[in-house]
Amino acid sequence: MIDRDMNDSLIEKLTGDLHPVRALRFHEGLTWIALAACATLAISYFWLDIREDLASGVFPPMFLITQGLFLILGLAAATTTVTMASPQVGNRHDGWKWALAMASLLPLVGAIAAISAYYAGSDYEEGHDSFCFIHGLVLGLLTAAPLIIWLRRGAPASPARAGLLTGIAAGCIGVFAYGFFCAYDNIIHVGIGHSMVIFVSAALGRLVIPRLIRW
Amino acid sequence: MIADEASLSRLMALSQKGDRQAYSVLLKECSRWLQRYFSRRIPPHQLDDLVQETLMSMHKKLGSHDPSRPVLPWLAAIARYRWVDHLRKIYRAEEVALAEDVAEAGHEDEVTARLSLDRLFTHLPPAQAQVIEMVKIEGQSIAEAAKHSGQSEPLVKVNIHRGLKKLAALIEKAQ
Repeated sequence: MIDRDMNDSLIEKLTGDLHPVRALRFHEGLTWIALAACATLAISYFWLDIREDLASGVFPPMFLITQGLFLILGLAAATTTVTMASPQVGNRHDGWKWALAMASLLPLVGAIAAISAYYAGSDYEEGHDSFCFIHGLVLGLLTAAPLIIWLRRGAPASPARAGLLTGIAAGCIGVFAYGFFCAYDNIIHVGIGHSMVIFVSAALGRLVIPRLIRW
Repeated sequence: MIADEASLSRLMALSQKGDRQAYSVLLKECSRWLQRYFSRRIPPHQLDDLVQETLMSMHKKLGSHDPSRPVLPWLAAIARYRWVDHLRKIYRAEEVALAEDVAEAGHEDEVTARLSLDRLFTHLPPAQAQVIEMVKIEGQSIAEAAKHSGQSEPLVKVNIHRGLKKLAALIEKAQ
C-alpha cells in the first residue's frame, strides 16, 4: 500500500508550486504551423527570385502536382505532431502514413526515370540538386522551431515518432516554399533532389529532436 | 470512491487556472486512481515511487491537457509512459509477489478497462509479453525466465528489448 505521509507531502509540495498554465489547444498549434509556413514563404520571396513562369501567371501541371503532394504531406505530418503534444489513450496518429505513401511516388518515379534515362543515354542536368537541398533544409528550420517548442510544452508519448514527424513536416514545408523558386520541373530533379530534403530532414528529426523533447 | 470524468474535468480546468484547492483535490483523486491503475502491473514496493513519479510528470505537463478532451485518457497516457520508462530502468529486481488484495480489482468500469495496462500486453506477441511479465514485473532473473518460458537466454533478452520498444509505441494506441 502506498505511503500516505510521503504522498500527502508530495501533493502539498506540488499544490504549493502550482501556477496558472496555458493549456495546449489544437487550433493554437495549427495557427503556429500556418504562421511558420507563411513566414517561410515570405522569407524565401525576399531572398530568392520567383520562377519566371509563375511570375507571368503560368502554372505548369508538374509543378502543381509535386507542390501539392509535398504540401499535403507537410500538413499531415505537422498536424499529427501538434496532436502528439497532448497525449491521450485512444489517439491514433496514422493519417500521415497515407500522405507519405502518396508523396513517395515522386522519388519512386524519379528513380525509374533516372534509370531509364541512364540506359537510354539521355543527359540529366545535375548541378542544381545541392542548391535546392540546402535551401529546402534551411527553410525547413522555420517550421521545425515552433513544432519543437510546441512539443516541449506538451508531453509527447512517442518522442521518437514526434521527432520523425517534425523532420518530415519541416522538410516538406521547406521544399514546398523553395519549389516556387526552383526553375526545374524535371521529375528526376524534383522526385529525387527535392525528396532528398525531406528524407534528410526526417532522419535529422528522428535522431536529434527526441533528446530535446523527452520528459 | 474515485471522482467521475466530469468532476475531474472541472477540477482540471480550475487547476490549469491556478486554483490550488481544486488542484489538491485533483492530485489526491489522481493518486488514488494511479494506485489502482498500477497495482497489478508493478511490484508493491515500487508502487509508491511510480505513482509519485507520475504525479510529478502530471504536474510538470499540466498544460498538455486539452480542456476540450477527457482527463482520464490523458492521465492514462502519462501513466503508461512513466510505466514503460520504469520497466526499461529495471533490469533485475528481487522476486516479489504481486498484490493480491487490490481493492476493487476485477470491478473496473469500462473506461478504466479500456485504458488499462493489460490492454498494452494484448498487443504484444505472447513470447514477448510472457518474458516481460516474468523479468520486469515479477522480478525473475533472465535465467529463471528462460527456464520457465522455454526460451533461450539470448532470446529472452531480445524479446524483452523488442517488447519494451513495442510497448513504447503503443502507449496511446492500445485500448
